Amino acid sequence: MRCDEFESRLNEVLDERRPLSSAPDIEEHARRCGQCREVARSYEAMTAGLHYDTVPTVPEGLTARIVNEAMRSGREARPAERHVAVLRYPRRLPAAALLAAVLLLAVTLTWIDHRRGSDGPRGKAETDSVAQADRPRPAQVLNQKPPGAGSAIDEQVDRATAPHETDSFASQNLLNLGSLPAAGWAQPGAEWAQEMADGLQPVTRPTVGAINGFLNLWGIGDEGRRS
Amino acid sequence: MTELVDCFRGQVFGLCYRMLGHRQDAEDVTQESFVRALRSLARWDNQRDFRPWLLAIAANRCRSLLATRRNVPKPSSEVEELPDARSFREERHVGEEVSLALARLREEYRQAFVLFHEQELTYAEIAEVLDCPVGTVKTWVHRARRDLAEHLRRRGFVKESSDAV
Repeated sequence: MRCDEFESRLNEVLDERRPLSSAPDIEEHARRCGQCREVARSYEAMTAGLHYDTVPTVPEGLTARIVNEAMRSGREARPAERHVAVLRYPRRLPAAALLAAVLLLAVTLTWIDHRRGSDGPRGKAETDSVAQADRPRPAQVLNQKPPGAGSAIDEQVDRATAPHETDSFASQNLLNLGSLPAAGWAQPGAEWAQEMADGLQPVTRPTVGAINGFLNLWGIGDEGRRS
Repeated sequence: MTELVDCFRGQVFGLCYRMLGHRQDAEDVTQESFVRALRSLARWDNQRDFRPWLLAIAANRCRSLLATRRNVPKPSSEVEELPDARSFREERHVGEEVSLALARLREEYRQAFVLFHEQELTYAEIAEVLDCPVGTVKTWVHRARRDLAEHLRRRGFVKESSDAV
């Protein structure tokens, strides 16, 4: 045995829970090498010390204390456990809350649009299908180059105030999004949403407009269109 | 319940005492470990041994307490250096010296060493308790032995002799 293997050999013997004196090869090497003998002696002192050094005895009343505490905490835990049992799947709560929020948003937008449709001039405009067909579609308006040297903000104000383009909430949304020529990313999504909105009932338009707005804000309007 | 506590309280208390080095803290953590174990007994897989599971709970509680202790600054009287070995060598028992050295070991080494040598768990059981690979546990136990042996050598507890081991 070489000296660099000696300590590993000591550990092997101790791992088997045997005394070092039971390994003749260790004894043999320790007899010849003073340095390794010292190492072996220190290991022996350590194992001997473990036998001498005893953990203090367990206190008398510990068992009773533990049992009392366990029973007390068990009584306290019961109502909480019942409460937890009601929420059996807490991980689904965020998804359920999100779904509820989306539904609430859709219902609110539909209600707002319904109110506006019954009160304002949009109802009249909607019924006039010939006028609507002749009117330039907002998407077409969006694709036009800005006339003259008007700024983007001026253009947005003009479009928002033009009567033929404010006939619905969806159109307003699309105009607002489309009037950001510097950004340049909103238009494809706006066209898609407008096409969809044209083919749907007037009541669902605002919802489509809102969804389109969200999609474009996240930059996925185009992907939605292609897929 | 009483029988269960009686059966394992010595082992849990022993581990806690070794880990924390303080009798009152060891009692408290033993109690807390048992209460936790009894409360979550339904989660224990009865295909596996109960003892490593219980000791794992106790070990975790000890680690938590040690972590909170580390955050609290120690008063200067608690961090004083060891007295000179020569003046106390005769009075001090080698067992006390081992105990002292154990308390100064790294937490992982101490836990692995105590579980192997005092609780007499196998390496596989220790790996289960400490939630780490068997190889890592072996390394920790070997390093703990080496550090303890070196400590005893430094402190003069190894007598010079020309005889064999």
